[in-house]
Amino acid sequence: MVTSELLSAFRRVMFAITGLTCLAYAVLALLQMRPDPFPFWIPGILGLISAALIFALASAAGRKNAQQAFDEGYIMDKRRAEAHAFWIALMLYPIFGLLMTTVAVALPTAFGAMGTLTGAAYLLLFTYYDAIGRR
Amino acid sequence: MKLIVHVTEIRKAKGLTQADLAKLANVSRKTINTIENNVFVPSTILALTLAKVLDVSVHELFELPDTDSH
Repeated sequence: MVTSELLSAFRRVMFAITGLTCLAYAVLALLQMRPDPFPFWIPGILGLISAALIFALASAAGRKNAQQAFDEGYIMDKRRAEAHAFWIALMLYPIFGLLMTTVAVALPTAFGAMGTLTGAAYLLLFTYYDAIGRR
Repeated sequence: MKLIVHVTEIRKAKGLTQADLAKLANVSRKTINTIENNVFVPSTILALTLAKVLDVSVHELFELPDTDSH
């Protein structure tokens, strides 16, 4: 039986895996100075698979368990992660502007790294905020 | 302003675990935990729901601290 706790844990794991994949893509892109350190479609497809699996598990858990897992505590964590990820995404512009002029990071590499870092910021912040309230 | 929360005492007096209360209020155990630890201030609807399932008034669950007024 799928409980709300199992659904929350599964969601946290899928967000962490997708976020870490995005982060790995950005770090490898910068280290290798290339826009495609591994196939470019992997982070996006992984995100879609994660969403599909979370939706499927929520459907299997039933309405009451899904409501418990996606309650107002979840919304608070989601909004907090969105707000902080927004500022991180904005800060990437001056940081990468500096990197492009000083370390000669090419625009395609910066584009790939910034895109995946933006996704990683939200996903990993949500994972962290969701985890710390469970102690 | 920090809210004074009495959910833990009242929940324990009723013999309920956080998981039991979460199920009755239709929220996650984490939400109950964060409310009890004063990390999360619940919505009016959730505060009223908690009061209803614990069979107390909202004022018994939550109170504002006394502030000095001149």
